[in-house]
Formats: sequence, C-alpha cells, structure tokens
Amino acid sequence: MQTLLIDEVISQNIKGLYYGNRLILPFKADFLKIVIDDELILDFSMDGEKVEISEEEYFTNIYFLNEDDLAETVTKFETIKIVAVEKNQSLFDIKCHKMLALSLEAPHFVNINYITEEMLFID
Amino acid sequence: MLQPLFIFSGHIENTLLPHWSAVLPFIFLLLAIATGPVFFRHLWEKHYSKVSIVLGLIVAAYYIFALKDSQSILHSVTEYISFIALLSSLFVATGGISIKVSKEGTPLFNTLFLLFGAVISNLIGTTGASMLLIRPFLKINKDRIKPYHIIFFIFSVSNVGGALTPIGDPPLFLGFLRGVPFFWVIANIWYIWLPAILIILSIFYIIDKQNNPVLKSTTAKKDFHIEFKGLTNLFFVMIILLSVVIDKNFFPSLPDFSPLPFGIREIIMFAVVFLSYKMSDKEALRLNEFDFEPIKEVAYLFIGIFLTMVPALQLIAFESNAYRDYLTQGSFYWGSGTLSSFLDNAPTYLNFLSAAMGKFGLDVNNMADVKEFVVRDDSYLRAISVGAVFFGAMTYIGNGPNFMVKSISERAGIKMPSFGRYITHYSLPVLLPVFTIIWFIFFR
Repeated sequence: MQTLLIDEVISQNIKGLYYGNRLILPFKADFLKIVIDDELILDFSMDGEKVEISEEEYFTNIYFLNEDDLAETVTKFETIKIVAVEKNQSLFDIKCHKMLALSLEAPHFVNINYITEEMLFID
Repeated sequence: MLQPLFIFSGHIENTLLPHWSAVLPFIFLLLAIATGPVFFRHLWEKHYSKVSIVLGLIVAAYYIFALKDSQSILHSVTEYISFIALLSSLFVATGGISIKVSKEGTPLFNTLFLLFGAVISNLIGTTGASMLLIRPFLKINKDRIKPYHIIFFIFSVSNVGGALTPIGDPPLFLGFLRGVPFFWVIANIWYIWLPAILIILSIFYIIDKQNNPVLKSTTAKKDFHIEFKGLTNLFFVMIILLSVVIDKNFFPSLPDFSPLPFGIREIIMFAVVFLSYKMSDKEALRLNEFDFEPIKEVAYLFIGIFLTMVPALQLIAFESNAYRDYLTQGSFYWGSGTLSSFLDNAPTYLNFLSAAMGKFGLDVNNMADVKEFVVRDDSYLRAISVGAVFFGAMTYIGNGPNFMVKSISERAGIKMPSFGRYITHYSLPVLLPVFTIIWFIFFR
C-alpha cells in the first residue's frame, strides 16, 4: 500500500471511512479549512479545540472533537467541505488549494469529490 | 403585584398583569442567544434547544398556575405555530429550487440584485425571497464575499424590502387580516420604503466598491446567464402564499379546530413541508445542500422567544395603553421598532396598533373600527407598520429569515459576526442613522 495523491483518490473513486467522530481520509495533506455543518474550522494546531489530526503511513485521521457522530451532523444532502494541499505541493500557491466535498454513505463510507462550480462554498 | 390587563396581542382580555420579574426568562434567553455562541459555543450548540424550551416552560407554568391564565399562553403558542408553519414551508419549498447565476458580483450588479430581492420580497415574503436568493447571491460573490454582503442582504431582502404588501412581512399581514386594506400598505409606505432602501443600498454600494476582488480566472464569467433547477417547487410556494389568506376573517365557514392551536392554514403549510421535500428535485436539494438544521434552530429558539416574550408584551401593552394619549407618531415608530428588534414583530405591531386605535376609542378586534381608523388618521398606522418591519433588521432575532440566512452562509464557509458584533458593527452604524432620518422626515 502506498500513499495516494488526492487526484488519484478521486479519479480512482477510493472512499474514505467514518466511525463516530473519526474521519479517515485515504491521503495525506495539509489542511487549511474545514466546514462541517455551520462550524468553520481554521485552527489545526495541537491546541485546537475543534479537530485533532493525526497522520498514519497511508492515511489521515481527523477527529471532530465537538461531534459525537458524524452521521448525525452531516445529513443526506450535506457535505463536509475541506480546503487541503497535497503534501508535496506549495501551500502558498493558491492553485494548489484543493477544495473537497465529502459526503457520508452508510454504514461507514466517505465519498470524496472536488467541489464543483455549482456548489456553494467560499474558499 | 397583580393588576388587571386590558390588551394582549390585540385581544381584549380580563387577565392579570404579570409581575415584572416574569420578564427575566426573556432577558436571560436574549443574553444566552447573544453570548452563548461566542463564549461557550460547544455547550450552547448542544443545549440551546433545552435552554429555550425550559425558559419558555417556566413562563408558561407561571401563567397557567400562578396567574391562572392559560389563554395568553395558548394564544402565543397559536401565533408560534402559524409563524413556524409559514417559515418551515417556505424554507423547504424554496430549498428545493436551485438558481445558478453565471455573473460576477460587481458592486453595481450586487446592488441591483439586492434591489430586485427587496422588491420580490413583497411578492413571496421576506422569508421566501431570502431563501431563494441568498445562495445565488453568495455564489456570484464567492471570490470576494465578506460578512457585510450577507448583512446587507438581511437588511434589504429579509426585512426592509418587504414593507410594501401584506405578503411581505407577517405584521402587515396581521393588519390586513384585521381590516387594513391590501393596497393601503403600498400606497402609504412606498415613499418611505423607497428612500430607506435607496440609502441602505447606496451605503452598500459604497462599501462594496472598496472591496477589491481577487478574481480567479476559473470563475470569471462574462455572459449573464441564469439556470434554474427544481422550478416545480414554485407550485408549492404558490400554495403557501394562497394559503396565507385562508383565515376566518375572510372565510367564516372554515372549520374551527379550537382549542387546538392551529387551523386549516397551518395544516396546509405543514403538508407542503412534507410534500415539497418528498417531491423536490434531488439534484437541486444536493446543490443547495439542503438540511433541516437551520429551520430546527429557528423553531427551537423561537418557541422560547414566543413564550418568554408574553409578559414583556403584556407589560408593554399595559404601559402603552396607560400613556396612549401622550404617545405621538414618533413614539409609535420608535416603540414598535425598538421592540421589533428583539421581539417578534407581529404581536408587537398588534399591541401598538391596539394602543393607537385606543386613542380614538376604537377596537383592533373590530374590522369596521380598523377601517375607520385607517380613514380617520392613518399616520399612526404608518409609523407602526414601518417601525415593525424595518427594525426587524436590527438583530439576528428581529425576523425569522435573519437566522436562516446566517446559518446558510456559515454552512457555505463564511464566518458571520456574533450577535453583539452584528449590532455594534452593522445595525447601529448603518441602520440606526437611516431609521433616524426616516423618523426625522416622516414621523417627527
């Protein structure tokens, strides 16, 4: 198993996972912004009160500290929106900012797609 | 100390006046709404519904057991059910309509967009217009959006805009049900509405002009193009608007479900909630990221507001009736306005209308009296109508759609100002001077 790029994850339709308040993404990235429900998350420091991020060899865990169960928060038509940058790309080049929409699929899958022009999301 | 009370929400009642301390739950709820999301957000988000309901129940229990007055509570619950039926049905029906505008949000285009929204809010209500237009407004400005965009949207589309017809805002509709002629509103408010909306939008234009966009080539659009999805939901919007006039004042033969706190109108509206959700274009719902949470938030907070505001409204009604001979047009304008900033503007409107009619020995519950009042001296009605509608923009809780617009914007990734910051940074510096000019010209 090797670390995948975000592009590869999306083009190969590889799904993430969720368990309770834990989101497991099959890639590694630097995170700039997460919107879950009406919560805007910008603090990804160790002291951050909203999320805790931990990287494993091939994947990333995001724990939403204020949530008990992601399935309760993110409903049928909603998505978790993420702005992330691939590990090997420049954080300072705005063209490298990838905007992702994550929708949940029972029992534990996470569909990962790019946010389209039609979707409402402010970078 | 218990005193006889004469008027509550326009109904003449022989009930007892509550003790002043009965207002404390309402003040506590307002403080909690203002400070909760700022100082203890997580706790507030988990428990706000319980806080709101418990405070409401405290007031309800005080009325039922201490004052032996269940009527006032039943009346407030009835008004709440009407309120939430209208809001939720419009929220769901318009949530299934997706509008894509392929145009950049320039200052001029934005200003015209808000003007269009302000006008259309008189046809489909401030709630309908807000829900329909907030998403396209955010989308056309996605590369340069700032909180002021949304706040001016709340000012113009969600509130001030809807002052021209009884469909526009609930207090005007209540006046219409009581006997204020349908076209009296536009004939008597337009010349106040027009300068108010033009000043607000001019301020918006000037601020927006300073906001230099960081345009991204991928989103820059040249041609103006609009695409709709889920237009069949307009059928449900029409049903809601038509059902609004289903009232016993117009159709005396309507079935009466009393003492149940709802009527046929509310049943139709809740049916629309269910049917429009089931039949909505799923792609439109997905694009709008439709979720019931914003309307749930409004429903929970406003049940607390509707119940806890009962003693506040009764005490105000009592005081305004006691001093009605001394009250001027300006008093009615500022009085109904200030209270509509924090209380629901519909009962506030009726209480002040009742006090104003009392100056002429007329009864707000008598349709002939209301018509006579309009003919005899409508300057008070004008002041109350403008105050009740315009000032709803002063806070997030001044009008139902304000909260929903805030919630939809936050879900799009925009950090909105807190309750206090909204007042100190936007409504006080922008709206208060505008409303003062309106008072100076028309109600002094």
